[in-house]
Amino acid sequence: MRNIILFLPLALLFTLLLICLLGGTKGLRNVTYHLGHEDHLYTKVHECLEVQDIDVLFFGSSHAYRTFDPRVFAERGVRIFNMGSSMQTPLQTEVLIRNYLDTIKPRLVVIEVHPDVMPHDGVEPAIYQLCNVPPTWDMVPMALRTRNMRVVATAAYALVHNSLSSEFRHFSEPVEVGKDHYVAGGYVEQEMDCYSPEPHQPKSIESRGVQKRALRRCVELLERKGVPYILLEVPDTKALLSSYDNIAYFQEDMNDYGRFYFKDMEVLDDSLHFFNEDHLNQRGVELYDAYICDSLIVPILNNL
Amino acid sequence: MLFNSLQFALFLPVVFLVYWLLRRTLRWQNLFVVAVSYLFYGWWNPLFLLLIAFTSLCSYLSGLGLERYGRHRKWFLWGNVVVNLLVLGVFKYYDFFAQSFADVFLGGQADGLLLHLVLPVGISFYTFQALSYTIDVYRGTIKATRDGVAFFAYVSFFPQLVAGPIERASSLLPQFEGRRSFDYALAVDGLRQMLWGFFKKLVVADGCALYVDRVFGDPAAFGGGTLALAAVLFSFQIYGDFSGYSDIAIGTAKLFGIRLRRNFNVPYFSRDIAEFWRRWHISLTTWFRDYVYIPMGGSRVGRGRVIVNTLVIFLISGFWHGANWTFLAWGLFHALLFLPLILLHRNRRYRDTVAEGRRLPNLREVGQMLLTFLLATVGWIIFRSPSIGFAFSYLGGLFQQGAHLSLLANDYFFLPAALLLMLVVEWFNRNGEHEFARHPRHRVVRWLGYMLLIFIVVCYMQTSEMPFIYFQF
Repeated sequence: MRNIILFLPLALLFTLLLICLLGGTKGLRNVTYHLGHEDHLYTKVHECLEVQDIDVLFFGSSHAYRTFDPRVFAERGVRIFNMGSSMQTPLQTEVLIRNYLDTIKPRLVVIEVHPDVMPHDGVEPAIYQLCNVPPTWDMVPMALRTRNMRVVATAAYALVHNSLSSEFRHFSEPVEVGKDHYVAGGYVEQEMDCYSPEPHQPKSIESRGVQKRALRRCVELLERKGVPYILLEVPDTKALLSSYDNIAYFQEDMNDYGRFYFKDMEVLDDSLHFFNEDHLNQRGVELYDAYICDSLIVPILNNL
Repeated sequence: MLFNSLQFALFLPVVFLVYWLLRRTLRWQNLFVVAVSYLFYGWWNPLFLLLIAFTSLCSYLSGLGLERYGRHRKWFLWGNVVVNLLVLGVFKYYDFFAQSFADVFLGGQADGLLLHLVLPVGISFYTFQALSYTIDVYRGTIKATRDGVAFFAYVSFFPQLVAGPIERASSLLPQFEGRRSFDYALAVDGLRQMLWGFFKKLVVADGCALYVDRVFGDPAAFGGGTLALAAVLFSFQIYGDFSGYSDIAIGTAKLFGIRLRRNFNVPYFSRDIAEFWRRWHISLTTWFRDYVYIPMGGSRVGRGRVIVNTLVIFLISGFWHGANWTFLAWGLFHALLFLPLILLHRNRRYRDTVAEGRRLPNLREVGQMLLTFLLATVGWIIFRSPSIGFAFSYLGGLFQQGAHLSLLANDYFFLPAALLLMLVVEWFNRNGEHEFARHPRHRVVRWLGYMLLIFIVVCYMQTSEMPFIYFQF
């Protein structure tokens, strides 16, 4: 029996060692390390160390980093920083809050919540985060909570690699990636495009327990730190929005986590103001950001 | 609960520890086995527990009745057989027959006829296991047990509950009736077998599934080469999936001091289809042989009866897998391959292992193995197809040109190496007690080998939980 007990930790160490040694060769299927991504998360987590006097800090998925443009808010005298990243689920938001909230010190936090994010398993966004954010111990429970071997194996490699290698420290992420252009403050602007609406199959939103628990931890953490926060759902095309058959239940559910807002604008048109079914184009962003800033953010900030 | 789930990874060590803590009181230990087996099974749907408890109770009582009321033995036997097969028939086959009836007589309108019952996981496996007990008691092969707890543990023992091996009461029941002691060597061998099972399931079978599902999902989009490759990969997928499950089940049982029968014995190293059937899903094949084929006269009857018996046994075997004409066609296909061998008395030519006493096979043996594999693969195309029409169109597509999906692309690049590793290891273990039984004597080398295999599983496993194919049967 002693041999079995000795073997298990040795096997674990051996596996970790080989993953660290071979993880960079691209030959290990479940180690998917890739530095840099269209969400520019690497750039953001380094840039946020330099920013000061931030009024609003945004967290969330691509719906956050492709919607909240610091230039539009700045015109209205509000300084924001956008920490949104691709498919960011509450599991990843929690890591970012734990590690960057105290540095940025915002007056208000906005957590963007989307009907497609809460049901997500969090695997891909976990990998983006592990590869692009400086390693911290908070990433270990985040990786384990996805219950996915690809995330765990990538975490083993990324945590060691990003701690020790100079590749991570000296990486320079290009400002232009495909049709995307990074704007200081965490926003990613896409080349102007319009959407051709398509019919959608009806679907239900089934939030995962692991994401709901993570969201609960996020808001409790913000409450403990005394930072005011709201939850915000950004507009989708009307075609997509009407395809969710339990959107009202989802919104009611989000209300349990704090003050939840869904500020749709009648003026937003599916083809004129979106570049795909769930992302506003620059014309839509400018309209919506001006509206949300004036009608929601400024009044809240004035009351703090 | 799946073997390849986090729940099982937490469940097994806890159950293992408590089980051996209870080793001094056999009754409590068996009661614990029943409780955790019901927990394991109820994880899918607690309502399924009613069925397995009903099957166990009927078979237990019929065993007692067979012994006590000798004059009415046949009533107890047939009563239990009919009740168990009725339950199986209603849950597994009723909708199929109702739909077929509607297709022929009602123009396909079967709305009012169908029950739409959920098929309980593993119902075919534990029903057959329970039936074998009653038949063996009737035949006098074993005595009826009075220990109800041991009997319930025999029917529900969690490692083999949902996909076998289908055990016989004569070998498993006495193990529950007698005291077990922890055997370190057996437990280590069990862990070794589990490790190999996980490799076959998570790396080989689930890896093949990615390619196979894509091609079988839209065969018209691909050319003959890709269809052939997908068929070959499905042969390895179903082998890796089912034999991997069996290895994990048998290995897990060994941790509890229980020995289960072997279910696979390197079937793709068979030299003809008769040998293939002695090596594939052995516990089911021998079940049908002992309880259906031999009572029908087996091969010791006239040629006409031999043909009928062979056809019946293969058709039943095919239909056991599921309520679909494709399974019947698969059984018929194998019957047609088997008949010439049995009629020419050549079905027992290869009772040894290929290349016995040699490291490598000769050219003739290689040819025989490839031909047998090819025939089995054609059978698997029928088995994998959702309908007979689909199977014919897939077989026709093998001779047409079209797009090619490379095995070395993206997600599949590791498959050739994984398949080669599996074949090489199993070749050199083909005479072993199981396919990963042989191991180097030197501990450092042995441990390095195990660690390397764990590393391969971690880095190349399919990461989404994919259920075992045979759970649906």
